[in-house]
Amino acid sequence: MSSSPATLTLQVPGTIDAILPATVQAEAWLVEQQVSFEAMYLVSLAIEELVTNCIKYGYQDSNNHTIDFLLSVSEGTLRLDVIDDGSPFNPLEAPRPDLSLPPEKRPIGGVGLHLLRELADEMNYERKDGTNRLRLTKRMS
Amino acid sequence: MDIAVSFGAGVPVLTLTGRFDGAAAVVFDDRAGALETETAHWVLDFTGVTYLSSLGIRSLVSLETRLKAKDGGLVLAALAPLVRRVLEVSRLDSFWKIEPTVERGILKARAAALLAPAIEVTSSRCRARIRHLTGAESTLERWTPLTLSPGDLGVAFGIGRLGATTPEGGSAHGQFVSTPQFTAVLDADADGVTDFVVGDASQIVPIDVASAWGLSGAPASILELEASSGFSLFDALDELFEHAAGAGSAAFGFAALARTDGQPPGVFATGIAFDQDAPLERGTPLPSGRCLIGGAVTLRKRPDMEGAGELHDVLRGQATLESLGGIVALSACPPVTHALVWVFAPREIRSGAAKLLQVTVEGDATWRQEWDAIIRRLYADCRSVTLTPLHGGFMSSTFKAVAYDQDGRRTLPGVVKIGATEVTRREVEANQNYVSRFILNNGTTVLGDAQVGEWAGLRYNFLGINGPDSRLAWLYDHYRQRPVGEVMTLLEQVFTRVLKPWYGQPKWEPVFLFRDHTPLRLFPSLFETAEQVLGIPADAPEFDCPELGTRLPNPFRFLKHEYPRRARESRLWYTAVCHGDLNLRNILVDERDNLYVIDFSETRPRNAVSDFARMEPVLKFEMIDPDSDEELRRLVEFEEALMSVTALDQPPPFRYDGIDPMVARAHAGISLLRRCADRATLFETDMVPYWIALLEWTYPVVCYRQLSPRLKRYAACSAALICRSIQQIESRA
Repeated sequence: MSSSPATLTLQVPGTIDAILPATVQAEAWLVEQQVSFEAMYLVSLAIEELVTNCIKYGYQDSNNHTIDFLLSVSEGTLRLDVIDDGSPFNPLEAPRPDLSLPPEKRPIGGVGLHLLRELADEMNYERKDGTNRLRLTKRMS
Repeated sequence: MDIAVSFGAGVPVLTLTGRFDGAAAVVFDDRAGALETETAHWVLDFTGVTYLSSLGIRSLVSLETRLKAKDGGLVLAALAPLVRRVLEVSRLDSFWKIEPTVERGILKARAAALLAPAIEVTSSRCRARIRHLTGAESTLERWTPLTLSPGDLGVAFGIGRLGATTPEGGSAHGQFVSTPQFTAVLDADADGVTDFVVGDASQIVPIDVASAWGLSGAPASILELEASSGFSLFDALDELFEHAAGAGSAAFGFAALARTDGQPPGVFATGIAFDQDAPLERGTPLPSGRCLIGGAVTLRKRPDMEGAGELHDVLRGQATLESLGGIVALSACPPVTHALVWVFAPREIRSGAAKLLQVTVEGDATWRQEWDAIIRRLYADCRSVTLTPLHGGFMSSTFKAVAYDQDGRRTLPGVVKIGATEVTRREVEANQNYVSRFILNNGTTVLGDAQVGEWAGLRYNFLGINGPDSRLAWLYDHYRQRPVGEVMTLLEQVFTRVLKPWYGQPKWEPVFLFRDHTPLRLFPSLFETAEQVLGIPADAPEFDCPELGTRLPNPFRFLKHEYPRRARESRLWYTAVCHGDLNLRNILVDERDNLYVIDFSETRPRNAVSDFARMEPVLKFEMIDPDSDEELRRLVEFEEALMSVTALDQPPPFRYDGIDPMVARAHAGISLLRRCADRATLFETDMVPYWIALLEWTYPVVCYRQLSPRLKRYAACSAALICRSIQQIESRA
C-alpha cells in the first residue's frame, strides 16, 4: 500500500466560465486514479455547486477571487477540500430544503448543498484564517 | 448539452445529450420556452445525459410547473443510474413520471394526454363518465368506389370486399366494418360468413370499396357507460351526444366496445347519427329524431374495458380471430351493460377522395390500382404527386416523383420504386445495414416504405440533390459521351472513393464460389435458351470456335456439371460488402459530377471482387455490338487477350484491330476494374474468384432480349475463354 496519497490542486477563478475547464481537469485526473463513477460525479457536482454559490453569495467586493479544490485519493477514499476566501458560510448550518413539498412549491435554493451532503459520506466545515474550509469524503469500496 | 426535438406518436420528445449543468440549463430554458406544442405532455430522453446538477433540476422544475399549468407534465426517460440517484436524493422521483425507455415514456405521455378529468352524468338509461379530449378534430368522410387500405378509411363501415379490384371481378360486395385493428367483411357469396383481417397488418390489406362512411381524426371524448341491467347503447348515446361532443354538430360519430349480459357476450359497433333533416340514405330513427346508420361486429369473448385510451390500443389484443364473431346490423345489436364509446364531433362532411393524395402517372407505364394506396401512404405529407417512369428497373418499377406539400410547395424531386414485397424488404434492409451506415452521402436515403397487399413501395432521395432543378443522369450516358479520361476518373471514384467503406474493409473467410455465383437463380432457363439461340447443347464437351480457329470448352457444360459438383467447395478468400448488381444504370451523376449509387436489393457481403467482375460484361456487351462476322472475330480475339492473364495484378493486353472506339474504352475500363479488384484483395492475386464472378454475369447475356445473336455468340465465346482460363490455372495448381 502506498502511504503517500495522490493529490491534485485546482485553483478555480470565481467565474461561471471557470467551472467546466476545472471539471474536465478534475475528471481526467480522477480517471487516472481509477475512482468510482459516483466519486467522480460528486467532485463534478462540488465544483459546480460550490463555485456557483461563491459567485452568488460569497463575496462582498468586486475583486477577483479563486477557490481552491484539493483532491486526494488514498486507500479507497476520495477527499476533497474546498477553500474559499468569501464571507463566512457554514453549509452544515444552512437551512435544508423541505423535500416533502411538491417540487413547484419548494423555495429556490439549497438543493445543491443537499445533493453534496447526501452523496458524500462525510461533510466537515471549519472557518480558519479568514477562509471557509469544507471537506467532503467519499469511500469507494 | 445538445437538445434535439422530435415527435413520437404526436408527443414531443426532447433528446438531451451532454452535461445538464448550469450552462446547459440556460440553453434548455431557452429552447423549452420557445417550443410551442399541441400537447403539454413532453418526454425528455436522458439517454445521453451523464450529469445533472441542481441548476439542471431547477430548469426541470420550472418546465414541469409550466406544463402543469396547461394540464400537462414531463416524463423523464432512460435515466443513467447516477442521474436517477440525484433525483431520488432530491425526492423528485416520487413526484415525477420516470420511465426506463423512451418508448415507454411516449406511451405514458400519450396516456396522460388522453386523461382529462372525467365528468359524471346520469342519463335515464345508464351512468356515464365523460372524458373530454383536448385538441380533438375529426371529419366525416363519404367514400365512393375506390380501392383503399383501412389506413385510409379510419373507422368506417359500408359496402365492399377484400382485395383490389380486378377486371375479372372477385367475390360479391358485402357489408364491412373497418377499424385501426381489424376489418370485417360479410361475404355475400358465402352465405353470411364474415371474413376478418386482424392486427396491425390489417392496415395494409386492400379493400375494394363500393360505398362507405368513415370517421377520421381524433374523437372529442371517451364515454364509459354502465347500468345494472341491459340498455340500448344507441338510445343512451342519443341522449348523451351533446354532453359528449358539444351542441351544434350536424352529425355525431362513434365507435363503441360493449359488454352484454347475454349472448353474444360483447359487441363492437360504429355509426353516425345525423340530424333528422340531413341528407341521407335509409337509417334507423333514434328517440331524439336523429337518424342512425352504421355497422357492428359481435364478439365471442367478453371485452376487457380497462384503460380507456386510444381506440387502437384498446382493440389491440382484443380483436383476434378467436374473439370476433360476425357482422350484424345495428338494429340487431343486443342490449349492453357496460360500454366504452369514442364519440366524434365531425367538423365537416367531405368526399373521402378529396383528402387523398392526387396521384398522376405520366407516360405509358404499367400501373396497378393498388399502387395508388402505396403512393398515398408514401406521400401522406403531400397533396399531389406526379410520377414519370424511369427505365432500367429489372425487378421493380421505378418512377421519378415530383410532389407538392399541403401548402402547395414543390418538394425535392425523388424516386419511387414499387416491387414485390420481398424485393422491397431486402432493399429497405440493405439501406439500413449497408447504405446509411457506410456510404450515406452517395447512396439513397429512404424516406419511407409502404406495403399494400403483395406490393411494396419505397420513396427515396439523394442527399446531394441541390434543388428542384438538379439534373441526374446515368453513368451510362456519361460513359458513352464524355472523353475517356473523364469517364475513367468517374469510374475510379465510384470504386476508390464512394464505395471505399465497403471494399476497403475486406474480411478473410471461407467463400463458396460455385454456390454463390450461380447465374441460375436469376436465369433458371439459361440452358434451354443457350441451346435455342446458339445451338450449343449443355452436355456437349466442346464447341467449335471458328473465330479463333480452335475448339473451346463448352461453358454451359461447365455450369451444368461443375457448379453443382463443387457447390459445397469452400476456400478462404476476401469478402466485402458488395452492391450485387452494380452497372452503369445504378450509378447516377449530377451536374457537379457527384456520384450516387442506387438499387440495393442485392447488397450484402460476398466475394470481394464481385462488383468489379459484374461491371466488366457491362462495358463489353452493353456498349459494343459486332456488325459483321469479321468484327465478331476481332472481338473474340480481344476477349482472348483479356482472359490470357493469370493474376489480378497483370494488366490485360489490348489486342484489337477494328475501329470501334468503344472497344478501346472497354479495355481502359476493364484494366481499371481489375486494378481496383486487385486493391480490394490486398496481397492476394488469384484470378479464379474473379473469373467465377465474371461468369455469373457473362452467362446470362444469352438470355437478354433485344441483343443481337452475334453479340450473344460473343458472350458465349467469352464464357468459354474464361472457363478455359480457370481450367488452365487449376491444372497448374
